[in-house]
Amino acid sequence: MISDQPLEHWVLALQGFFLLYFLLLNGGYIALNLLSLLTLRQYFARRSLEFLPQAHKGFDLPISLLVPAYNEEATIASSVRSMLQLAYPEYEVIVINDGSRDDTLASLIEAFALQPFPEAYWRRLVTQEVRGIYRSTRHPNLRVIDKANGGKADALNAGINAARYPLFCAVDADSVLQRDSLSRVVQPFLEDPRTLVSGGTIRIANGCRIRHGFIDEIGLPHNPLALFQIVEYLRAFLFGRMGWTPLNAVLIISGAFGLFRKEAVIGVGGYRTATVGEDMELIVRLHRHYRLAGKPYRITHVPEPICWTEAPETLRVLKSQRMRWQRGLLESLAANARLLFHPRSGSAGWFAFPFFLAFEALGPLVEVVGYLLFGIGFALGKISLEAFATFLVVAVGLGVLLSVSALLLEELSFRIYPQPGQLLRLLAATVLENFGYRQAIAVWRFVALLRWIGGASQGWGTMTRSGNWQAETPRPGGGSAPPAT
Amino acid sequence: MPSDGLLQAARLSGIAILFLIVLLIGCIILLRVWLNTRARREERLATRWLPIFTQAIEEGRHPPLPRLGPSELALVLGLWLRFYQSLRGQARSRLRDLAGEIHLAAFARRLLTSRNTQERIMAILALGHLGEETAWQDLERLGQDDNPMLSLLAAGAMLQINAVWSIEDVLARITQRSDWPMTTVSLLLAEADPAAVVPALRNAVRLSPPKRLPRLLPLLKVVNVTGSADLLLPLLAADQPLEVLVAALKVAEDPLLLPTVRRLVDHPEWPVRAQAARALGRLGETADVTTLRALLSDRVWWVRYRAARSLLKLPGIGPAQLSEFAATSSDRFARDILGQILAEAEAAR
Repeated sequence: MISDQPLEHWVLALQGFFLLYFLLLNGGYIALNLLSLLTLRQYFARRSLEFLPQAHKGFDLPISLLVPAYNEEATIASSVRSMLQLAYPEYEVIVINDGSRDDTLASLIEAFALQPFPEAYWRRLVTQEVRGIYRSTRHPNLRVIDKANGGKADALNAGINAARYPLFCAVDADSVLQRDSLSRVVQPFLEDPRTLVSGGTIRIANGCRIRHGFIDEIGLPHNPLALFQIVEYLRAFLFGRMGWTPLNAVLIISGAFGLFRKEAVIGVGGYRTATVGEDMELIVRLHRHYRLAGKPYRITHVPEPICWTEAPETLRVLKSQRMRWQRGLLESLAANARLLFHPRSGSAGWFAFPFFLAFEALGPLVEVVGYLLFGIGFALGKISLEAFATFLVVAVGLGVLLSVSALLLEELSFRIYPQPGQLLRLLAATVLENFGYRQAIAVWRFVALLRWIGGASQGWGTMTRSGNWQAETPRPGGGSAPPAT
Repeated sequence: MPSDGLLQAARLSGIAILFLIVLLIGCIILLRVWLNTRARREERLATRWLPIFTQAIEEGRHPPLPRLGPSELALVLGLWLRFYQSLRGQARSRLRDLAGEIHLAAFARRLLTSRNTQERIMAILALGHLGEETAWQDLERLGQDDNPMLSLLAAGAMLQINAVWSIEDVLARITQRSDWPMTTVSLLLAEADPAAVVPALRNAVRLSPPKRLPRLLPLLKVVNVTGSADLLLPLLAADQPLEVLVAALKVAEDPLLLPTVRRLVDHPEWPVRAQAARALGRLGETADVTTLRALLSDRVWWVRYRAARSLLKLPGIGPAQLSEFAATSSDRFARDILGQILAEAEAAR
């Protein structure tokens, strides 16, 4: 009895900690939800400018579309073909073949009649050796850089060196863009000259019908993993990104689709090659550089769904992806730790950074340890059945509540799933993803956290590209996408 | 065992969460039902009004107008705007006549005080298109609004209603409101009456302090101000701020500016050198070959690139001459950039 007392105090203290943590976490998410509502309201008001049909005709800023490709033989030609059909007045497509070991380069040469081009390549960012530059004889706005393998960040840096235009758009080779993607994502640059980065909202293409490289019909996948990821993406983009936008504290712009001011990126040294989360790291670094230097800037996000990506449909690929994202998040925060609570770091350093650190980076630790301790406490009889059940209801209920609120934001804004059956399936997914799926993600992220602390390295893993969309069928999963929330 | 207080708090949280989930799901379903009902209503209204608009545009007359409920007016206004903005000439004038018959201007004036921003934007656009002078004061007030979109569109509407009255005020605000996107500003000015805009813009450029000029100078090109040498000459003095020099070089199209532009190719700031090289491509003569060839060895890629492109635009200079320059140049940078420009020219053919 005497020996039990300290243990009970520990249990009580832990319960108090978890309750406080949950309160802060969900209070934060609720605040982000409200801010998202505000941002969406402003966005839709701005969209009214579309009453001016020629609003930006002839004034759009030219864009260089950078497409890093590594062993993309199966899909690269059709990806590039659809990118060449975007509705935008002036843009170029630069594919960077990052030392592929398959026939990526040969398939590009054949599909687009490429010829070697004697370009005076300006090496402003240091990269692996550029072996050659090709230009399409059919499409004057298509160039291909062939370089030694150096990873995605290195490929993007080579693309930045070759880019002609003041804005560049980093796009994953397997991304499916809307025809008007570029004119949507460029809007923040036209509206505010301080804009450095504008991110696009990514949606999941699994279950959609794709024709000629564009989404022809929006649908939901039958695979439950992909369906749960749709709910995750709603949360991540509709209040994860949108909530931080009015505070100018968006710390993640997806590597799958983001528009950058080239000189600003070169000014901070380009993409960092020694991380698996090069997209997030660059954004956090831009915040750090501009905040600490006291320079005015904006990093913003376009809520409209303008880019589609395939989500993993197998546990193996999903696990590899989530562990990589978690590591990327940790590396990005660690590399830019000076931003945290710096006197000049503003909302990015005083709100977003601590939020990501406490709830995204360390969240899996608290979640997994919380589940374990409550389970053990219950098994040892230290926690009653009623307390254990209440804990589960609160933990699972909060997860459902956040997902349902993201679905409500979707209904208030874009409603891209118009069928009643689709709505019911999404509602079911908001509940079911909390039984097993979210816990599995938490465990994988927890393992990634432990490995990062232990100093183990993490590669890109193998991403299976199906190439099925060339056959114009719904796409199963593989690719890369941004971290949730 | 957890304390009773903690357990009670958790229990209450659980109940509140479950209640909120049910409430939000209810909201989602009700919202879906409401939006579907509204979409059907809009569809019915469009079906009723589209033939009226079409006949009015094509024939200048229309079938009897259906009675409009207050909630339907905003939808008809939206429809009217879409038609109006996609048409030109006589069709627009017929649409204005139709708007008069359904008292759209009075409705738009009422909408100016709406709390819904989208409705206010529609109202501002409509009042501008209708040239509604009675809304002048309201638009003037909205032109001062903090919301950049509302204020800019109100300024645009005032330009449409009476450009002579409003242009000076609008130009002053263009220089002050850095939150007004220049793309939209350019569009609104390009559509305004040039007889009012051009002299006012010349005057504004002449009188504005240097820090305001980078926003004004690009507009000279937008509204096709010709013979601007007298305006630009003092702005192309080497001691002007960098932003002013670059903005002035971008719009330098008067041959009288050539000697001044030539002097700027040695400027210490590379953006000035690059723009000077570019301007030489527009204004230069064969005598400028030497200057541009020297710039092919500049330490900055963009200066070399602009110089090479401009060389090709000079009178009497073609790919053959460029090949010769490349063959005789001892500088690797010059050879590389000329090689690229030649390949680009070949690809463009």
